[in-house]
Amino acid sequence: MEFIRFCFDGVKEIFRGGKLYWSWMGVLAVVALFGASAYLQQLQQGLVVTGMSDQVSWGIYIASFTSLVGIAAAAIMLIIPAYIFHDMDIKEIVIPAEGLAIAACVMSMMFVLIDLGRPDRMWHLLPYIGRFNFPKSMLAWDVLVLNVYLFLTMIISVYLLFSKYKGKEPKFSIYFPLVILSIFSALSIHTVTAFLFSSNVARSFWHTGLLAPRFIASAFSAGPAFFLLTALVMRYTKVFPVKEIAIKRLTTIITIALEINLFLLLAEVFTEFYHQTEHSASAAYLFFGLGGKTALVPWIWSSVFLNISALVIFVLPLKKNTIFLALACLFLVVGVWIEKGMGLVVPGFIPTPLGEVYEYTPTFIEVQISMGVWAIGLMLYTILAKISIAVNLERIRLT
Amino acid sequence: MSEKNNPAKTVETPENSDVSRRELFKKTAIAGTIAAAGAVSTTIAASNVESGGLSDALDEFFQKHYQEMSKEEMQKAIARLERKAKEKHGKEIHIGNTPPLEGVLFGYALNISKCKGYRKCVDACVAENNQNRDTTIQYIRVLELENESMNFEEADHYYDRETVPHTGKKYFPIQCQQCENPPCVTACPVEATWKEADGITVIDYNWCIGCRYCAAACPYWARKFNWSEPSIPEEKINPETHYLSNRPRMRGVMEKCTFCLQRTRKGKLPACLEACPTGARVFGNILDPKSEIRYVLENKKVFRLKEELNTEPKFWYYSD
Amino acid sequence: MSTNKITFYSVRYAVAFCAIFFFAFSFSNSSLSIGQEVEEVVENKTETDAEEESEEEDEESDDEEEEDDEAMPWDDEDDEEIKVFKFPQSTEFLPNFPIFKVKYAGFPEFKIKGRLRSSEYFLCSECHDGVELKPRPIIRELRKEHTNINLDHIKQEHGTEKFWCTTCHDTSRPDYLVGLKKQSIHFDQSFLLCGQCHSQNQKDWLFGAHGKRTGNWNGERTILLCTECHSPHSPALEPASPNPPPPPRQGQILVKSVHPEGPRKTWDKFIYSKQH
Ligand code: SF4
Ligand code: SF4
Repeated sequence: MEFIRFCFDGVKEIFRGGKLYWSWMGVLAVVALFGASAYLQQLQQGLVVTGMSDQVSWGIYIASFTSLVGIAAAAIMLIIPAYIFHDMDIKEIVIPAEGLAIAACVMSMMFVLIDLGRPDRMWHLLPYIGRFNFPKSMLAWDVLVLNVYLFLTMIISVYLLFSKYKGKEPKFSIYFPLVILSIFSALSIHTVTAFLFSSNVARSFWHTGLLAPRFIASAFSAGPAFFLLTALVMRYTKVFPVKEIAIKRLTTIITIALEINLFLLLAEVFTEFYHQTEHSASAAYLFFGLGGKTALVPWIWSSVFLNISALVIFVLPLKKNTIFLALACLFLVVGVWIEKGMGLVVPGFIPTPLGEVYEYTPTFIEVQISMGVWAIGLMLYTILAKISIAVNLERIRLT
Repeated sequence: MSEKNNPAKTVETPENSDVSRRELFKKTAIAGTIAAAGAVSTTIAASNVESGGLSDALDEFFQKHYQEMSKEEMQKAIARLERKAKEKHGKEIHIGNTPPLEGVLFGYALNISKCKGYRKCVDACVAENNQNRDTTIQYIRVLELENESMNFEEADHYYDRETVPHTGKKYFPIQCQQCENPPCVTACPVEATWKEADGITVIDYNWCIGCRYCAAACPYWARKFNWSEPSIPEEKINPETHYLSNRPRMRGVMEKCTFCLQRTRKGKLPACLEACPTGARVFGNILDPKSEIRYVLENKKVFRLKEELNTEPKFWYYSD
Repeated sequence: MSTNKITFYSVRYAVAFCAIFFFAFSFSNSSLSIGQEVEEVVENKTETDAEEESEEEDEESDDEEEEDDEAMPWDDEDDEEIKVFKFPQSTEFLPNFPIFKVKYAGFPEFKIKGRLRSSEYFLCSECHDGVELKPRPIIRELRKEHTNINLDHIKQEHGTEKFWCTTCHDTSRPDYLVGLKKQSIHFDQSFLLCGQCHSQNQKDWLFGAHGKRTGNWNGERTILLCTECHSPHSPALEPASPNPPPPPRQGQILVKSVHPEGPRKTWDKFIYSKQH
């Protein structure tokens, strides 16, 4: 009964909002509709409307999926200090962060869905009803852990919010095991996504043990950066008074993860280029172009530039300035998105296993659909954040 | 569309009336899932508007995995697929279902010193296997390499000369290597692709969800995707097909070379071999010690591509 | 000798088709058995006359090779005229011939479709019947009907000094080939002849690593004879135009990859790096 009221209040909260809120949601809805119409076209004509080919058979969809999994996993960088080390400052913002994790999870699943050639056969993926190639296929693992993680995160955040709603302290014995589980599954979603790539012997660019650590490191910098960005926005728009100390904590986390990530990237680049073997052709294509084809070169160099400038801002006292901090976060999010998406998924296919250099550029429809997914994800995040803030500020509570 | 969202309707169709209780539960569960995902049903609707009745559409939607179908289900599925193929392509098409032969493991050998790069095999393959002519799917790629190099990155895939062979070049046809440890099979999340008893990796085109993970996993770039709805001029359709190989495909699924399963399981030679004007290709049963292929493997200087990847290809290259 | 060499190059192209129809008629009417033929030949053997122009018959001309693009000889469905020989056991078609002693035991049994092409041309004995024309074992330039024979096999590979028409063509029995030890060899057994020198290829062919099997991979093994692919007078395969290169997928543009830049041969790279 109480729970139903909680849900009811939550839904009511969604429809309460100022001009800013509604215009934000309106813009997102329009973008989402655009995306939906483009997706309809893709459904009707097939994936031929995308820029993908047999040579480069995954494009911007899987690229976005990969980086979003990272953002989803990053929530644990807040959960760990909040619930393992009982850091009160982080605890305040952990539920919006979980909202981000949920939204990112949903988005990444949507990206997989829109990438399918036969979305109508999705049910083949269901265990027992369909045929799930479970222990063998890394993609099957990924589907599984993503769902588990989504489920866990949802349970945890609903439980925590509900307790707060009732005005009670959440029971340690209930949430602690769940939190521990979710920490592991957060790690595993990103590790498994890395394995999804690194298990491919066919693609030497992905076939490296460093991929999983790199994924984790980049996720733990870009995820919190994304969240910090939204926290800064929340603070700026005065919807939620994020404390300075929480921001500082986040900055520390981001800086360390970013340093590790750049170090790992450096190690990778060194190994690829010291003896330029046949296997480093993809890296050569990515950084310098191959056979006069250079489509990805601007991408990766801008990513390098963005990452390094983010690092510079984070290590300098410059970060005390909110504008610079926001800028650094933005740089980082975009930089990592490119590094892990266009800079990892696409060059893995170029050159093909038969040495052909065939380039990939996303088509307009592809971009439109991706933006649509982002819009839906952001709407979801806004809603979740709004509810959690409302509960946190005790705007809605059991009376 | 709305009918499809209704699970009750599903089980009432006459085709499904004889299914067991478990089946019924299964289907209801699935239908429920669909109802939840509105976009999904849109797809079915979109893909079935052109092609006939609702019951066909439902049957196709619920068609089971090739390996799980019973004999009658198989017959029904094949009859429906043949009917639909006729509707679509305007030609009577026979979909066979010959099982693998006992004690046969297919192997292929190619003499690279004989191959002259004419690309006759490429076009014979397309004619035999009903590939989509719009997106021009080809299972065989012939690479032109420097005589003294084996670096594929320096290969020319698109050589277009007056005459071949060109001096100082060698030609290297590559198709599915029918790996004994196929990475594509381990990759597939729904087991839509598997290795048959005669060593041929096949795809159930009605089960593949089109995720293209197998294409990323294949080290030989053998898997080709149907980016658009396949279209083949009616007179170019090969009506003799097999469920697992050259039957008409649909958009959004993977396909690949099957060593012409429809021919080789009946004892015939693959189309690429028949078309090769230089006799560079040798095909046969590698379990038969008297076979030609075994002679080649045992007596020639033979090598395989990317053996270091532990894929155990059943496609060998040799030279005189 | 030397004049011969010079004139080879001048006299190359002439007409050789005048008797096609005549021959085709006679060949198609009767399911010709070699046995009958042999008798004829043997009869004619006694009467021998010297004549000016006498050469061995050529079974394939170069023109014919080019036609193969359209229809392969093994595409021919007209099986009635195809004589089938089984090796190694069957010799019933080949009376009076030395049975080839197979050096390489254990090769799988095979069948050969008889020389399909020969039906389009005429038998050597049509002209060289021993009465009017007799093959001459003299090395000289080819004339008349034989000028279009490309003798690369002799000139480029082996040399006229060691090798001449009559090395392989039987002067006494024009419709047969002759081995190095003067054994008569039927045209449908030409692999015996070729294998005298190309023994490795012959072995590969017998076991299936060379040549081409047709029809099926199991059961009866039918393979193509050497001369189905190689012109015996110029055995190297001619260069031909390839089928078109693969197009990109629909809606995409193909930009040919031209890589890598710079020299590609190892030695060129070496020289290049020295220069720069
Ligand atoms: S070559 Fe590629 S498609 Fe063929 S079996 Fe091996 S991995 Fe699979
Ligand atoms: S594309 Fe089809 S066959 Fe390939 S992995 Fe995906 S579902 Fe399996």
